[in-house]
Amino acid sequence: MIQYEIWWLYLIAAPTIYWLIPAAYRAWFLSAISLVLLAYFAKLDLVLMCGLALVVFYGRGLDEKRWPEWAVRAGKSTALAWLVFIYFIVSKYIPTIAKMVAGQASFIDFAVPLGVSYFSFKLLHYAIENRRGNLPAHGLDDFISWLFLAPIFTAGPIERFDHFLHNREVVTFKFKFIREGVERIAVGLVKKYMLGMLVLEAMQQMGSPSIFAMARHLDDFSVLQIWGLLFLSFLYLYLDFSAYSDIAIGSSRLFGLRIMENFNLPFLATSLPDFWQRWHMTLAQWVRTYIYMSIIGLTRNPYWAVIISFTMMGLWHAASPHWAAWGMWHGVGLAIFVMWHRYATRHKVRFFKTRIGGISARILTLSYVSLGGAFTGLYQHGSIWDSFRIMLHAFGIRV
Amino acid sequence: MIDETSLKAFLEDELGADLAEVENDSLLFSTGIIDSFALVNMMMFLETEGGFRISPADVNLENLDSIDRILAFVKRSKEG
Repeated sequence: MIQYEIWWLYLIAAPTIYWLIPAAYRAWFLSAISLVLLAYFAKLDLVLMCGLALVVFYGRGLDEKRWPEWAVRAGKSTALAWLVFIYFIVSKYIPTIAKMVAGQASFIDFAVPLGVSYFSFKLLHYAIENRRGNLPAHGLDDFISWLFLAPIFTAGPIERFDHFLHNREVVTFKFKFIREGVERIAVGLVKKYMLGMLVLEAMQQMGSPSIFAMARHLDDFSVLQIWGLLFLSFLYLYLDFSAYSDIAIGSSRLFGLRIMENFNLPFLATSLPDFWQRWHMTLAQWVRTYIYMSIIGLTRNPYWAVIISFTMMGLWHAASPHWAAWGMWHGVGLAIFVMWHRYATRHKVRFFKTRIGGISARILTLSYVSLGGAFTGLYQHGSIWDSFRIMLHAFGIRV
Repeated sequence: MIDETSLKAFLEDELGADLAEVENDSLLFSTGIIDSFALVNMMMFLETEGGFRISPADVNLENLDSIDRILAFVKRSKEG
């Protein structure tokens, strides 16, 4: 949204009015202004999302005297979470699958709704935690202002509702909200439009502006060039994605909100588990809480749990074999790491605790993560086989 | 019988690490102090020593992510 003038207009006008009106109306105003901005981009999709949100919000507390017994019972069961899950699957994957099967002439002619992945995961979190009784007291204005908060609607972070309620300061205006917000937005803009551009320029200097352009003439690239481009591509992805998070967090700060952090220097990760404590942290936490733990509960098998969880995390990004393979790549890597870690602990292997071992661990982690970019870098631009070719070429195996 | 001492002793043996500096409300799994294998083994330890079955629905961070939460969960499970 930041490419549109209306976004910047929103960012100036909305916080100004927000702090001028009485505190009691601020959550309602934030809800309304977010919906107005999103309606500019999403239109009819937003109507369905609002309807679903209201069903989830009111569903759990239906009055037994006014509603049929089945509806009251459904509202208290897991039905609401399943309803959100079905909405997510249908709206996210059916358009893609229909296009894959029937081509552009598919009878299902609609696009994936704006922000559906983030919206669905936030609403699923709400439905599950509300059923568990883990949420503090709140009203519809709190719920809507959180669920549809415009700055985080399309690119995250996946803010937890309890975190949102506990970390907002909406009663008294403080100048630090503006200072912190503007500073954070500026950091995001510098990352996206200056550092990001420099990295793209470096990629160009190295021989290719992107991974998929490199894949078209792979035989012309040396092993060193391939690794260089994979590292730079990952660096660009980090700068671009974390810039959106910075802008989202900074914009929310203008309203006195403190949104969960999404990145913490992922380049310093010493292992894959450490990487997932630093990269797209809110998604990793969501997957750990609601997918990984459920699979552990059902299977008691950590290998299956981690591989299935990360494959599903991949598919959350897009209905594509590239993203599924990327998820599996991380899942398998994590499973192997856990096996190694237990072996190293039991046999008192100390190498990775030394200084040189720590540096090696960082390089190894960064290499593994960057190599996985061969999958996502070819999303919509090449086949899975092309991704494997890049990986093999990176080790000097030319096929 | 599961109490703080026996639970910590099990985790120390399982992880091969000293948990003396880990507070009872420190998050264990979501911060990576215990890994997924240790989590599964801990669940089996709780079932064997506690004499109750952990249902899949109870396997969540609210119940299992700190010493305090685990002990409270064990207490609830045995009462229930």
